[in-house]
Amino acid sequence: MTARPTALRATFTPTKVAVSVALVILAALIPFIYPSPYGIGVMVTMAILVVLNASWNFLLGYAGVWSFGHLALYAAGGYGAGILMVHASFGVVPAMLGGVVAGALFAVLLAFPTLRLYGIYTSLLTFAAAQVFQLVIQNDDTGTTGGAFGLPSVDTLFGSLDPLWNARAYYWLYLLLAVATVAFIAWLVRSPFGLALRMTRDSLVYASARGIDPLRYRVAAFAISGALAGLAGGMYTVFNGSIAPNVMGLTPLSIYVTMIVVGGLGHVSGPVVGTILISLVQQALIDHPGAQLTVLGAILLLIVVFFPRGIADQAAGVQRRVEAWMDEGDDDDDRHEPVPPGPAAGSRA
Amino acid sequence: MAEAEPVLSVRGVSAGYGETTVIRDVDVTIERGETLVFVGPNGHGKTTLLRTISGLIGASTGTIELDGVRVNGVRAEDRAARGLLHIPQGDHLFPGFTVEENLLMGAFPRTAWRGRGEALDRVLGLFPTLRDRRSQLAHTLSGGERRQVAIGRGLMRDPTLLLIDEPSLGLGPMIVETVYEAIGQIAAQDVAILLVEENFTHIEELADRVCVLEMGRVVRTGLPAELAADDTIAQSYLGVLEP
Amino acid sequence: MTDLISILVSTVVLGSIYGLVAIGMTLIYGILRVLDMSQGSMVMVGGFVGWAVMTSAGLSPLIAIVAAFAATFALGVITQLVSVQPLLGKRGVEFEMITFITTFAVAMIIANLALQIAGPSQRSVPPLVDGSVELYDGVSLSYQSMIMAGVAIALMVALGLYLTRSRYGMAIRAVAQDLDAARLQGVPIRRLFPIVMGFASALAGIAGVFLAAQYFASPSAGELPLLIALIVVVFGGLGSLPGALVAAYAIGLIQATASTLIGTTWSLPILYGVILLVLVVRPQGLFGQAREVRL
Repeated sequence: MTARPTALRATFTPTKVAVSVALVILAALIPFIYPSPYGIGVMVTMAILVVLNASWNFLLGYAGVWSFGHLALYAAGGYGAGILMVHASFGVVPAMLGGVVAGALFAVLLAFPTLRLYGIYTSLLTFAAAQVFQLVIQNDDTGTTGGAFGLPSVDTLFGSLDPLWNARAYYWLYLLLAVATVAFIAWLVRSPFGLALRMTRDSLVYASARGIDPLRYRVAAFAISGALAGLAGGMYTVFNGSIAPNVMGLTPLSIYVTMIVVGGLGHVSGPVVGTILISLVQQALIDHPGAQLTVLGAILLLIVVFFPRGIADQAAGVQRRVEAWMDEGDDDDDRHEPVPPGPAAGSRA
Repeated sequence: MAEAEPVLSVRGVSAGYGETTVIRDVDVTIERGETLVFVGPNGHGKTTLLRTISGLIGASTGTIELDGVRVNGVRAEDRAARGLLHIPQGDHLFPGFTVEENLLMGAFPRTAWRGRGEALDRVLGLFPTLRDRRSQLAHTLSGGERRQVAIGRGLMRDPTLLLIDEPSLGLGPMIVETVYEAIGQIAAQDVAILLVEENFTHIEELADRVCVLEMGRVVRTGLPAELAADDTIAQSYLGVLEP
Repeated sequence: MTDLISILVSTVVLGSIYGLVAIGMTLIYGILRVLDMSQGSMVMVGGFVGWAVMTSAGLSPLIAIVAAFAATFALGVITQLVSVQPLLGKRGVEFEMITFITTFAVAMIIANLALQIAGPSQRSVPPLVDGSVELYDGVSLSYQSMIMAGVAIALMVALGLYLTRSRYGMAIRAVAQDLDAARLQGVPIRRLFPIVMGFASALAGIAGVFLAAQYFASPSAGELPLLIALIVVVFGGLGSLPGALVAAYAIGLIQATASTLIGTTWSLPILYGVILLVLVVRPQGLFGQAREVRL
């Protein structure tokens, strides 16, 4: 059997792959079970948010960078793609790639000032930068971004299909992108790059002693995170046919933070779990739009206080304990059943 | 006559940081007026032990009792209010406070606060160098002066149990004399003391018992003279040279 | 010249209000090491309490201020107990980041509840005091502005005196410098923390009454004060009270100048520009310490 790289082997264990594939197939079948363009549209949005939240979780939870300006990267990607389509007549796919690049570039720009700043100052800087970005766009009179009213008339995909199949097409495409993103991050965090990155998060002194330059890793982490956020932005713009500065507001920020934290910072499945859960809560409260933020805020508080590392962490803990309990059972059996000598013992290979 | 409870009773205590256990299964008992000295290699848990007793770290196993009362779940600030005084390694002065303000903080508990004026005079009398510097900011002091403030801060109230972590560390011999004179005065007042120290000259005069802590475990307990006579220990930890 | 006087008047008024909110925020950071994102909500709640007392109940402004103080003090204590206290000493969490998020969550809840209960409309609040004094060529200084500035300065001075002259004031300053050392001297931090946060929130509550009297009360009235408070505390240096005081008036000055000379739409972007500059060039602000800021 050919030896595969350790990261691949650790990430894609047979059980995990099987479970994931099963879940993805299940997810792909949903548009047939609930043939409603609106419902599928909600799931398309969830897919977009999974990509966004996964990218943010990578920066926040794995690289340990307290960045709260992530939505600016999202918007950079979205506006990047939109502007390329509206003003430069790019096609949809090239424009989305442009969005990815825009996200990465803005992220790197943001990375440099934060390089030497301790935690909370990074939060403040990224938060302020995002606010500035939002204000600049809101006050833009030049027509480039459409100002506070947003950029309209962006090309979309699958325009020739009827609403139901249009929604399904988007969903399957975006589901694919979301799965690819999560799989990529799952692999990345266990790769040598990811391990070194976590080392810079957990112990800078040790990392430096090992010859790891924390600055370069931070910039790289920002770039990757920004690229994926830009992708999410492009996905948003293409699906909605427009983008406006309110995608960066405090309300979306609160909601997405809730998704990530409830799901579990620093876990690959965290953003997925969190996005799905919180989206479901939002849908449940669809008739009480005013109560949404209160309920989400309460959920965020409760989870952080009781399970500060999120649901994914709790689940992992439970899994560990179950496995340990099962292992315990095996030991007992060994102790209580004396192994008879002879062929029986030999066959216990 | 009923036997008094030991001032400190530590039984089977293990503690550490995060996943790492530093001290294991440690038993310590200190009676009223007794001075117990801990010696041992650096990094083997002496500081961790003191921090566990004072409550800065939680014990993962075992019990800690002050005057017969279990204090495992009691927080550090409450243990301090009950008469436990920990003078930590590294001084931990308040850098933006003056010498006087630092000393006054030592008298923070309400009962001590009332007598703070007298206490301040007494401590400044013990450490005359500080008297000249009483309005100087702590972060501008020299190492020796800082140590005097740290010890002096501990003398501002009357503890029942005093934990001192390496009082002579990094100090010149003259200041060490002053410091140990002060500690001697406290010991004379029947206060129970748990001292972590490397400098044996003073240990012999001061200690009622000596414990050796190695790899987080108590490996030897005895009278100072006994341990000094034991060559291996004497040379490794007590700095006693072969005659 | 008219402009100059007008700017100075605005500076004093804005600076005093910002000072109240910022001092609370920097106090909370210095003592608890929490960047309290709920301070803005306290301003908003204070404004509503002021409106309720003065408009609905028709009582005097003094009662409004006291009521706002009490309400936001209680709210601040509750916020601390719910969003900060349980996280003290918890393993495996980045305390400052998590409390940034939890106080943010509390702000979310409070703002949304206010929106639900009171509706989005702005409520006008009668001025605390009528009348004004003409200073120069059409620029007048209202008695209300003078009282606000006076009360704000008096509160800040009182706080300063308390911190330097009293036993617990000294204990609070000690906690800000070395938490463990303070604990070892017997300072009951678990009881101190909620009270400090309650008091800081109450300062914001009073600022809220002033702001409401000056402008209006509404559920979204807390957003801008929060953002400006963040700007002020970073400029002054997180944790430094003199810094927050100086920075509050400095930011007030910048905002007043920008508004008068360039127009109000640009004042906020300019302030953000200032803060970005500060964070890049001298992140510890005016009076903060460099070693606490760098990685």
